[in-house]
Amino acid sequence: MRFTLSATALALTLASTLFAQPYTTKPLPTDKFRQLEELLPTPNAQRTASGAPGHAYWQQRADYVIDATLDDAKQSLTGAATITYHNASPDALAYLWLQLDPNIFAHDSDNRVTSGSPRATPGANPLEKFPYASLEALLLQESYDSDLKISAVTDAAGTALPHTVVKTMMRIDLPAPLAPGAKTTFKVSWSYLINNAKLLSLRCGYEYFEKDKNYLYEIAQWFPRMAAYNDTMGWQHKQYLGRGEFTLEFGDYLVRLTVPSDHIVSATGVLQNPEQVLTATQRARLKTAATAPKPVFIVTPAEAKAAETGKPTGTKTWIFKADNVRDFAFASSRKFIWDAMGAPHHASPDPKQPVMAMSFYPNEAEPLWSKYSTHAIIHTLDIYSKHTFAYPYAVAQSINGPIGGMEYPMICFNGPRPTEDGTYSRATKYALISVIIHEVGHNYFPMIVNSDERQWTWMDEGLNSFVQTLAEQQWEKDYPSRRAEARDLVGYMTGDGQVPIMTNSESIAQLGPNAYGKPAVALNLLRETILGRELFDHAFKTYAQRWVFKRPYPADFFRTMEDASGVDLDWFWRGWFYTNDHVDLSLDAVRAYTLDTRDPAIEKPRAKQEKADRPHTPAQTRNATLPKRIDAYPELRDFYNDYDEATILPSDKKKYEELLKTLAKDKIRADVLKTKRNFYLIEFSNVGGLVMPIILKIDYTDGSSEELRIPAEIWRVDNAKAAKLIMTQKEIKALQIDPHDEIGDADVENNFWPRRAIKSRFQLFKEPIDASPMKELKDEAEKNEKAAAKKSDAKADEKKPEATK
Amino acid sequence: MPRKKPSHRLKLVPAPRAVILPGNPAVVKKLLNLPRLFPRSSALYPAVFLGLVLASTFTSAVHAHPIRTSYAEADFRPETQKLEIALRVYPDDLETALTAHAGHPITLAQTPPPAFDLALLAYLRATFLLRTADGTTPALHLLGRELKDNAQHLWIYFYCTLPGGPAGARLAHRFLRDAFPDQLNALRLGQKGQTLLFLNDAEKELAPAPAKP
Repeated sequence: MRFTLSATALALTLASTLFAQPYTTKPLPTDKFRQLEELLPTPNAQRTASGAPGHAYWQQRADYVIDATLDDAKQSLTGAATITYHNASPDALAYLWLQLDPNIFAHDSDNRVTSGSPRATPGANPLEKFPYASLEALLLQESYDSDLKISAVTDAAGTALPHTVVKTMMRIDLPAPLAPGAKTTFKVSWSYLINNAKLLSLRCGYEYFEKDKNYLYEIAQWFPRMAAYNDTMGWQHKQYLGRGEFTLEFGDYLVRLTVPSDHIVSATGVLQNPEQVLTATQRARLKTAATAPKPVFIVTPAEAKAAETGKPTGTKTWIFKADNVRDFAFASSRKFIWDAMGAPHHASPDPKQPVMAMSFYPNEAEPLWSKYSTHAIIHTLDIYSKHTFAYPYAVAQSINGPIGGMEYPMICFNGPRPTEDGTYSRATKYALISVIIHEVGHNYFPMIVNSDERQWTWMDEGLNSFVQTLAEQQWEKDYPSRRAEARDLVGYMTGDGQVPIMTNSESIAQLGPNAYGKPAVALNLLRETILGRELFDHAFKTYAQRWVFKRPYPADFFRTMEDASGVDLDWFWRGWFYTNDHVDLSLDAVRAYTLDTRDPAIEKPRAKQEKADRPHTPAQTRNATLPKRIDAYPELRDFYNDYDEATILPSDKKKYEELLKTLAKDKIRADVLKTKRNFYLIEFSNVGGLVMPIILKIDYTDGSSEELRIPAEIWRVDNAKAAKLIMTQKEIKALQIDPHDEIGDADVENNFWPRRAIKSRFQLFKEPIDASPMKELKDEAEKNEKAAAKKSDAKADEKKPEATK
Repeated sequence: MPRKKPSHRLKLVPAPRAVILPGNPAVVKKLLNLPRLFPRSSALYPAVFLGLVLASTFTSAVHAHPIRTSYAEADFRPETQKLEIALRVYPDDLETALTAHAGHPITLAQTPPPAFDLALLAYLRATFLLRTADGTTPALHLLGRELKDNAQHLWIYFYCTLPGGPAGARLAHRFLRDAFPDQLNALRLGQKGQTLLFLNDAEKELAPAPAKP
């Protein structure tokens, strides 16, 4: 027993030593330029080494025909879907997986049960300020029952299919494996209670308006959706825990929505039966809107207001068709104002007219929404399409409701509204424009460039946030973008506890900065500092166009950007996406050198002069005046007392001449020794860990300055220390790293030579701000003017009484 | 993002030992002494004690949120024994939090500066919770504030006396988190210091306490 135990212990120790680290006898130097191939998946026939879809790339497809009824009295949804699943893979599939996202609201859902609470720490009761809303929500969870109630799963003929629900996923076992290239059709019917989005919000739900007793529905994740099956993940059925979003297949949708007859519905796709659900006036207005120069009301605010007090006379069925989309969402309410405008420069595939930009919002959203929403949609299409590809769908819609911001193909939900009196703050205005740009932008990433959101949040959020900033900066000058510049992220990047961008969504504590901000900042740096706009824009567009209607993974993005730009970026991806290092480059030392001419006629006098120029020590100064023996006894003087150190000896001449002969023999011009240049050895170190280009501003004593941009490869041999020799005819006065504040350097103090004492912001604020001479003179002039005016008034007053007499 | 209305706050205190059991109706009744939201039913009573999950998972939609981060630089001046802090926030986020805290609208544009500063200081004192190594709470004082970067950022300058410096001092940095559950607050101690990231209301040590001889 003892022997077994100790043998086991030994084996375990050995195993942990062997597998914990590579077996080395010396520490490995860091290699920040190591090629990423070791980390990235091996290229294959589906995904090439250049980052493009391979010749054997395949992806599945799922078409849906759905009939659904929205019950406005019970806030429930009942549906029946016929799903045709196309197996384009080379594998036979014995079972299919579907996503049942509303199960996240089940009593025992993982989302609820695994949500953590902050721990109590000394001096801190984390529950001291327990929001009332949280208690409301907790209480609601006890009574609110919202799993998807599956009433039937059958094949096309109606025979029941065995199925197993695994929390937010469902497995359907096929009677026979679905062969490669084959397709299968099956039916699912279900119902569920829609969640009150004000209390339990997770990207969809309803809002109840107490005043007019009406509901506004934003419906998404509402039907059993096929999980993705692909070459990289197999079945992507990681549970829906709340953070990681959706990974879906493309397909065609035909959806028939039955809603109260006085509701207005907005949905993914094109309305197929306007004659049945829209009035003649509405249809005429839509026609006008297609070519109008500004948004046109299809349902006016007054009409929407009147509808609020109306009652439905039954139901209507709205039929929508959407081709080649990965999802379907809709919104329904009698409160909707509806405006629309054809987006010039964007052609709809079908029908043949401009892409229709449309906004749906209740009166509570006015006057903000009619002013900005549809314009923001069109602006997004303009800028995003310029950087990626032409918008391929017929409509782009923005809905106001209880959801702050969420995206689906051709439709998105956006929250900002004015206050009740119709006024709104500057913050609300920009929050609205920003969120609409962001959500409509999501059509491009991931609705069309269909990245795996469940696994990598950053691939759509980070890329989208980046392009969003480009769009915002072209909305108006100095648009308050929140996540553009590297300097804004310094606090996060120098922080403790941050995980790399390449981390699964569910494990990231700081999702905003990690998946939205840092990738956007990294891409901005890549565009402005490392590649330049031309190379970057070409590479980014190549990526987008390669992966239109396909599913890329991080390796495909990294590889494409290199492949199309021609620049090795492995160091960049490795540093920014795989580590939590930050940027801090330091200018350590500047050493000045001049060339030794080797000519004794020049060097000997120079050495003598240098010696003479050295400061005298106190001892030397005081000793100079003391009496000396050889002055009293001149016979003690000899040759060496009067010898001039600058004397050129024959041996010096000989040495120099021999050197010249050697140079001549090697065909080196002798005058190269007399090159009149100053040499500066500038030493840098990489304190923060992230290797970055060194942008060096050089100021010369003659008043001129220049900028030297050294690519990051200067760090490739030694990741921590670098040096650069500068040869110049001028004399350097000062140096500065990162003069334009581009790279997000966390410590600015070590960027300067000579060192500048950097005052803290607090100190700078405390000290009196430099008075503005302009202001001072202006104030002085005004003061004098007032004084003069007062004097002349006084004189006039003295005269007046005479006049009125 | 929609403005949050000032929300009612409850105070949950550690329960006496004898009653930390689910299903004790007497205690639950006392705790639930608030305006009735839902019809009372016996099924609700255990709910409060069972796994006090923060419902903010459901209510805070991370998606498409602008980044909610603040950044602060704190420098200790040995000559004055003062800790000087410069805190950068988004002005609109601050207005939301101050409004909720004060119970009436507070805005940069409309609230007179002295009133704004009073509200700001009160809010700072309630959310920037510093404790010295020996457990005392130094009072915070406001030096001033300024809008920078085209009014995108508001810098707040405040200070406190911290005898002995930051070693062993602890900070719970809860600024803006009552209004925005996903608020991330970063604080850097000195130009060369590491940045502490505060993702929740827990305390962190600013600098290690000196080793005892």
